[in-house]
Amino acid sequence: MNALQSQVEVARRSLEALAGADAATLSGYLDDASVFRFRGDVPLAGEHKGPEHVGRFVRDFAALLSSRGARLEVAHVVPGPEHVYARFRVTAPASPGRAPVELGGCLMTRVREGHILESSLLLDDAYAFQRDLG
Amino acid sequence: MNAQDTSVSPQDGGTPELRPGGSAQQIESWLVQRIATLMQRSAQEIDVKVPLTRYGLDSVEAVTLSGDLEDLLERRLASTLVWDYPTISQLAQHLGQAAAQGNPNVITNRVRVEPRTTSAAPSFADDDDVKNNSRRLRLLDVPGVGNPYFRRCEGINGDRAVIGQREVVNFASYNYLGLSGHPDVSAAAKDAIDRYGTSVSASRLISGERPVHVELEAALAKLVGAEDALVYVGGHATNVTTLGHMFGPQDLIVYDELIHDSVLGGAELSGATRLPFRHQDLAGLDALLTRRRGDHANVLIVVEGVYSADGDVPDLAALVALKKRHRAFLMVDEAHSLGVLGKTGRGVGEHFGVDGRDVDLWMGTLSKSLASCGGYIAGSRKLVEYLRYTSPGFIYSVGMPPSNAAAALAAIQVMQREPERVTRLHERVKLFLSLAREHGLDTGTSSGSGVVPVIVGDTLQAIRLSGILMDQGINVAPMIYPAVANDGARLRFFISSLHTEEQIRHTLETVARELGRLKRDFSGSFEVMTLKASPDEHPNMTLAREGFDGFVTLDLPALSRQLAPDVVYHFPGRSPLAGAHKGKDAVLDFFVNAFRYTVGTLNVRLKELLADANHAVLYWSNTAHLPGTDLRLSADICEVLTLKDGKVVEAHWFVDNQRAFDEFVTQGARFIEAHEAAIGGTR
Ligand SMILES: Cc1ncc(COP(=O)(O)O)c(C=O)c1O
Repeated sequence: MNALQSQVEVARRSLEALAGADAATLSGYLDDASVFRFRGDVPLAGEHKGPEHVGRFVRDFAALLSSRGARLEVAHVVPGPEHVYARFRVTAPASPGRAPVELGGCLMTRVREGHILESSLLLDDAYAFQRDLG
Repeated sequence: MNAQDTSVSPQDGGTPELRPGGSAQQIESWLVQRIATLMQRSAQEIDVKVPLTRYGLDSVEAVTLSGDLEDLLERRLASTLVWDYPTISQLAQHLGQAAAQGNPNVITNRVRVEPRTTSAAPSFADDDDVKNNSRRLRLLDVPGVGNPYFRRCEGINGDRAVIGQREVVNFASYNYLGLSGHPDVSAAAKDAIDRYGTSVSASRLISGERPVHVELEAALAKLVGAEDALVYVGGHATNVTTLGHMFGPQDLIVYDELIHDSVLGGAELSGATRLPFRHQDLAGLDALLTRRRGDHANVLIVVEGVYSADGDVPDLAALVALKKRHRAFLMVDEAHSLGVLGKTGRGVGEHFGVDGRDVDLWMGTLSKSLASCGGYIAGSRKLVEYLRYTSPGFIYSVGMPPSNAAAALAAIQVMQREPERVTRLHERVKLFLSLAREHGLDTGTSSGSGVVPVIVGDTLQAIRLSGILMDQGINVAPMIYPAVANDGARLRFFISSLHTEEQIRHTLETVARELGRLKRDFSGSFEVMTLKASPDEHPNMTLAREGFDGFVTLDLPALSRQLAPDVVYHFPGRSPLAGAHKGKDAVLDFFVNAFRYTVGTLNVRLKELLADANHAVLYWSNTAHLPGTDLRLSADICEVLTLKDGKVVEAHWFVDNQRAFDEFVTQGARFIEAHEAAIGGTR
């Protein structure tokens, strides 16, 4: 696997970990200095640092998705010299009293030698995220 | 070197034919032959894996090469192509691949002309250039930026100027010797009006000639050491009409790449082959003439006596030797050197001790040191006689107003009577330069002329600094992209013999302090160049990079060229920027509003550029603040462009910190709209 492929792999696995609460896999890419950023006035927002905090964030995020029966799917990955961009979609069917969930976002991950230095989660609709998953 | 492709048929002199859609192999063969011809080597000597610069390919030839490729491949190519793909092999691979994938990206099909035949009558208000100009003006009216143009001055602009009823120290006027406003010069102009009226009411050829024209021309010729001279009503027009008239398609005009617009215009009008050489690179010019002299009837070299943006001086003695060796003509534009260079202000010829007759075409303006308006050509008697009877801008144009001719003549007389003006100018320039350097300011290559740039390195910061200095009582104009490169954006100081030492000291202290403050306050501003193009970068990345550069230099035409007509930009959130912006105009307005609603304080720092076959991703951080409040913005943005045929068809933006972003932009929009209402909108 070349460097770019492995970067893509790291980004994809990160998102899959987010989707499936797989904190263990993700932790393998992290060290104490790794930062996971989810900024803004949204549930779970903050700057999560190190395997323990990132692990907790991943579990909480996955729990948030599953509480709404939501699925996270990776839509598109573009690797670059420093960062990997991964776009995802979150969907959930309508449930009694709740409209279906349909939102997206992207994860910018800075990877070096198979290691995540930092990740930032950006949303295309922070308001819907809060409304539907908050 | 690779063997020649058998599908390639030779065409004049063995250069293989190249057609649109040519394969990498065909392009490579064509390039090998082309470089061999250009460098006068055999094709066997050309190694496709060696950087082209090793064969002595200079910037001029690189541009020519890209141009020829554009024509043959019928595609628009990035201007940096030959630098981005430095070897023949890389270049051919890149061009061939893009064609094969039908994914031209940076290489786009030539724009087809769309006849504008809608039912409504055509209006210039619908023209893209007109619209983009209006958009740019809206940006300049943002507070904290401030429109630096068309400042209205009330009195005589010397070392001081009166702007908006306030007296400021003035560095924005090329009144180098303080002769505009000199009582003798003004009196001569008034006297000429009394005697001859305000217009000569005809071409001089017919009956517009007055004695003062003839006297002025004799004085000018004597000043520069030529046999005769002819004056025209405008400096710009002098270059356009002279070059356009005297040279033709069989000729070659080579000029310094920083030459004035009027020379470019005249050269284009002439139909001659035009080639720029790298600024002040006389070795490059020599090499170019060695290769090209034989292909043309006449060759003209054009330089400036002082370069108007940088204030540096060409080596005239070396140029004279060079032009003699190549049997070329030499033209020197003395707009900024007459009255400035030389012990007695006789210009760059005096400065170098060059015989005036060794320059074939002396050109100059009356609008700078000579405190008037108009231009002149000085040279041999025969040349001037020819121009006097045939030059279109002379014979089909009114004679110079007597007041202008008399003012210029009086200015020459005062300059010669009071040589201390020139001496003082030299002293002031020296002081300005040494103090600027003491303050750590970047004055570029300025070397003893009346033009001293202070390079700021960023378009917006240059505009801001000019605004801040104006508030502090100093008038100096910014020079920004596209007049200079973005990282060469600057304030241009014109020094006058009238400036006092105190004015210069105070100004440089203020500039150093305010520039330092600006850099601190806007730290992290526009570090576009932190991500340099790499030779193997994806063409989509180049496109994204150029788009980003377009944004930070407010280059709306460049942005406009990247957008497909039915482009859609999706911006998230609930601010006035949010929504789906459909169509080119809406997207360009969106860019303008992004800037307006962040009140001109937006600073972006590009963190990453990514690309794949159909996308480019830009990732950057933004900061801004709302003046007079504690409201600050800090947010990252990721923009994903979907590209087709080298154009953006769709863009999705992702913002972290969305609520804070929306809050800021909503307040910013209110602020700016109130401001614009208060100033009565843009002019
Ligand atoms: C080098 C140069 N040539 C020509 C001109 C045109 O002269 P004018 O402004 O007198 O028309 C200028 C004007 O700024 C100039 O800088």
